[in-house]
Amino acid sequence: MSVALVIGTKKGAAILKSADRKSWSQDFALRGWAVTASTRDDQGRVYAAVSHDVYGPSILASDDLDNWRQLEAAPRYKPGEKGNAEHIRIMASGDFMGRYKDNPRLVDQIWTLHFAHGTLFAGVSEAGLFASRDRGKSWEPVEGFNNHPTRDSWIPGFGGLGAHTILTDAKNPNRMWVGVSSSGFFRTEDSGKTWTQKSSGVPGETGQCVHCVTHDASNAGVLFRQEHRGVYMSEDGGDSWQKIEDGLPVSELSEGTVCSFGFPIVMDRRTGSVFVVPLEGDNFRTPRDGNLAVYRSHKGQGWKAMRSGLPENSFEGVLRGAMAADQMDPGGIYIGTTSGRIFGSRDTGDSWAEIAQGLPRILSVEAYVQ
Amino acid sequence: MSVRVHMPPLLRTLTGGVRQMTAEGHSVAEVMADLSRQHPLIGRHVYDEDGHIRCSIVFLHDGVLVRAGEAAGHAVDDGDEIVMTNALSGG
Repeated sequence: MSVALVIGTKKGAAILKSADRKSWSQDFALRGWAVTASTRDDQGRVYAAVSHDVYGPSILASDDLDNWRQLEAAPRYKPGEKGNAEHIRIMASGDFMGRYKDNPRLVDQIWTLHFAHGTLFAGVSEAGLFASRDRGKSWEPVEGFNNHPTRDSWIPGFGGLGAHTILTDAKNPNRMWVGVSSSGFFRTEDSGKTWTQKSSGVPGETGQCVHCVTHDASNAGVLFRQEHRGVYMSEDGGDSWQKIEDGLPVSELSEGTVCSFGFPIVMDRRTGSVFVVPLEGDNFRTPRDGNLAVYRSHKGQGWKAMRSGLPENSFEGVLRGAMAADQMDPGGIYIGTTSGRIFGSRDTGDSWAEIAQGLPRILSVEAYVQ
Repeated sequence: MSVRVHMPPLLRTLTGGVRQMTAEGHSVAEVMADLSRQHPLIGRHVYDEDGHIRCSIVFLHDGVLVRAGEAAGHAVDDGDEIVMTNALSGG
């Protein structure tokens, strides 16, 4: 088996391929587009979400990771829908003529793609969820989420109001979860008709800033959550959360909370290992003392720093979507940095090697076993 | 009116690498609407959800800058050329 990495950057996608996870070939595709997410369906087709400040978002598909074609459709809100005024102010820097003064609800970025139960899902900014049941030819809004009763109270984060995390239950197609920055983590039990905020135990009444959540879809109710205010675990599908920071470095946030700040969180499903990349607080957002480290936990029971092969004197971060696990045995873990470097581990995090460098800022990383 | 539209390099993956497309219309807005009818994938990048030309696209018509909101009122003649480009560029 070989592994292909789709590395989404601010200026295109690096496609890395390897038969042994030691030596990698590298191509660069989708030049000029910010590649914000990718996923693969059950027939092996890979979908890449792209966006551009001027020309907007779209989705491309490839059956071989060499040839890409833009899909006929992409998620879009209905004309006339009202958007979030704060989000528009963050995103519409090019609106010289005041066209967006009435705050239209627009899809300006696709934060995540997820395939499950024959459906391709897209989480977008301004925050919303869309579904396609025909491999991206057409998209339907998930109205129960997009017009959630609490939507008027949703607050954008530093990167706007984005739905960036989608999780599904392999055993129950009616159940799924969506994370929104910075408005919380929601669960549906009725195929998206109704959604309930699932943040009990996480600090903050509204505006919980979930950064990323991971799980094993075959044991879906056990969730691991990197929140703005620390790292949490739930064993009941998100009904309750407990802080799990034993062994993690903590730092002070701008509002005084002391916790382990970071963005991505991924799981090696075979071993149950969970990985995070702590950064020094929300004011700095760089590895503490310039020591980039991935921390590993076995099912949330204590964390250990994995530094072998990772750079010292390095102040590059790892963004929300820029860590992935290939789910092989032993597990391969990959991180992409804001300085355009890719580090990979072939031993579930014990040791790391730089496998690509000189790329634009890395936004997303996905690993596909071929 | 038949007008040539100079395409931005980023969108030429949708034109087979062709730099200039031809479309019909009496204004910049009509020309872009016709171009988007001919090539719906291009249209997805020209218009937002509300059917407006995306606010960060601008046009150059005979050296005159035409912003997205001015496209409907800016007349073109047969044989003219429109350059479609970014409102924000430079360095």
